Amino acid sequence: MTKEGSSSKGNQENSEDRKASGVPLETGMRKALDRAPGLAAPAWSWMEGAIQGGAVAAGAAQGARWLIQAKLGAAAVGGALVMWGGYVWLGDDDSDKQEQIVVQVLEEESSFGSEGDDLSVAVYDLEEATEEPEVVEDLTIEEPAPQREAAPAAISTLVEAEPVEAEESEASVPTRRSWDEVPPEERTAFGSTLDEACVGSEVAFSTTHQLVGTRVLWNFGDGRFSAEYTPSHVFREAGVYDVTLSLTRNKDGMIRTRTIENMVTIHPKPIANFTWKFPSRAQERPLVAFHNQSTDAASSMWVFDGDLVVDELEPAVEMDRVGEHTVQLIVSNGLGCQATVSEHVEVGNRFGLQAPARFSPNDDGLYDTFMPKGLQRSDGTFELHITGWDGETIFLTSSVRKPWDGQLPSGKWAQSGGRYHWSVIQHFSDGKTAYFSDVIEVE
Amino acid sequence: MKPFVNPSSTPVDPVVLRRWIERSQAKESEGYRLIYERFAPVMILAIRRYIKSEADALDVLQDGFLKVFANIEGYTFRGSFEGWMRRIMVNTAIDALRSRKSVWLVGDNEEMLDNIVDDALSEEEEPVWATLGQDDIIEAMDQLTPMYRAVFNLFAIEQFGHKDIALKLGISVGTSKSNYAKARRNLKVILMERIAKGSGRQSDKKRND
Repeated sequence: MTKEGSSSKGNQENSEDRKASGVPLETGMRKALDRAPGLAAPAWSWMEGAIQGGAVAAGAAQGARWLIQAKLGAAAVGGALVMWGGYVWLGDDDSDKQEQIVVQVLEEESSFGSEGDDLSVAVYDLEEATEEPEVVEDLTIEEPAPQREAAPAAISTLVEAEPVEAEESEASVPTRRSWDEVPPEERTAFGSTLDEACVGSEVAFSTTHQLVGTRVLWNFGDGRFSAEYTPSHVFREAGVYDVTLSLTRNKDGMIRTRTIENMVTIHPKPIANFTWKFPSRAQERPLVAFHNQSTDAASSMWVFDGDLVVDELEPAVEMDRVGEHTVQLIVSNGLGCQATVSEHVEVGNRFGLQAPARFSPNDDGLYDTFMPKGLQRSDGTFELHITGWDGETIFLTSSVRKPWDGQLPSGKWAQSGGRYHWSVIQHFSDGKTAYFSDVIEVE
Repeated sequence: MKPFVNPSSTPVDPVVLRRWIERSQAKESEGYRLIYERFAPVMILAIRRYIKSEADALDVLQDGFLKVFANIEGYTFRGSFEGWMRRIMVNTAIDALRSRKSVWLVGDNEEMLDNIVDDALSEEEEPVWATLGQDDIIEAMDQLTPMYRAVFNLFAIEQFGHKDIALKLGISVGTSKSNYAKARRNLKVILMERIAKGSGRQSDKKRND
């Protein structure tokens, strides 16, 4: 096996190895990996199935998987989603269907370049879809060119891509027609992609025909207007809206108007919000308690670092990896609308606060007291809590000028070799908090 | 998903490997199988450096091999075949991580790089990293957050520059650098603890070809 990225850099480090007694961490790891036999992998039959089912058969199944991932973002991580078993937002939410359309339309667009112009107006920029452009790219790259008969017009591909009932396929790219070609009652016909949606999600509207020599004006019923033939609109407040289309013939200014009453129902969105509380004393694997402060939420799902999915209302989670943890809360109301909030929870050990591993309270002027260095230039407040191995509180301070001098509650002094737990909760001026804990040894 | 392909330390004869590749380029399923069975274990190892969850890593393995086979005609026998495959796997893993970027991105680091003072570490002696085994590495990486893991691997193992890493992960160069420093510091502590406990293994017989 040849080493990846070997060449000059690798050689340099090799010569360094010979000089120094220890090798740098990176070199040691690369060498270990170079000679590593690897991990057990699934049998060939597993891969073979994917080749036959995935790559050759136009990736239908695979496409579906990508879609699910796109939908929930990182929330749905493979098996975790299945375990969670709450397809609440996958099954009944209209925006899913919509998203499927988006993906397929984009795909068409890339494979039929010349018709891209016509199609681009039909790309409904739903939030979910725009957030995850990579996913769409992946789909198009991985799939072999779709084997369709030369799709004649944009509208046919859209209808084909439409996975839902006919009533919802109204909003497609209108074909250009002349005024007289279209029966009068159809001239102002229009539709929308959704008749129910959540606050903040886009609803796409389209006229059934695009009449040559006319202009349109949409009134969405919420004080907003559009002059496009296929506008997308975001309703900012919950409610039931009447939508009106006015069609003006350019040559004589004749106006035709149609209003569809109660056309779109916009459901309110829940508000996702949470706080958390660090343990008040030292814990090697701090158990962080999360408090759900969401409003109008019927169900909650928590995602920790993209891996761990918990559907409790208020979980308490052991944060045993040092670093910044990303915690995401996804809440949904009974109407299928969801909201997400994401926060960083920082958990560290002594290295995060540049705290020493030991100190020597013997009044010799050297390391006589314990106070993590990192707290000295911190802009916020903190609580430093020192406990004995039996869990007894030994010392509490929130000032860098009051470090622990090694005195125990009994008035005696900590003996050499004694080990004590400490924890620090930092409160920064921006409202954030961080937790650090470790052990301090008396020399 | 049983039975499994087990890791093997037997090197592949370059002539034999060339034949496998050529058979795969001719779209022979037997060629795919031979390549998969020989290299899946090291590829899953590479993926697991980036992705903690085994189920997700398997997804990436499958997607990665699909890409390998779809593009194998473009492999021109220049450079290591294994390296070429691993780049595809790493890219696929990064794509998978980025597709869920909302939860894996860590925020900007307020801590500046030069503020990181490792006085606690420098007291101790530099351990013998040469004795690390693959399990040490994977288990240590599993304890990092996803972003730290990705930055560390891309820089230290795949040997990309911070500019490229920033581009790949959609973060700033400064974030890449400071995440690297933090990841390295954490990893060092974790590995030193493992070595101290005596779990640092000589194991993993030398594979060379």
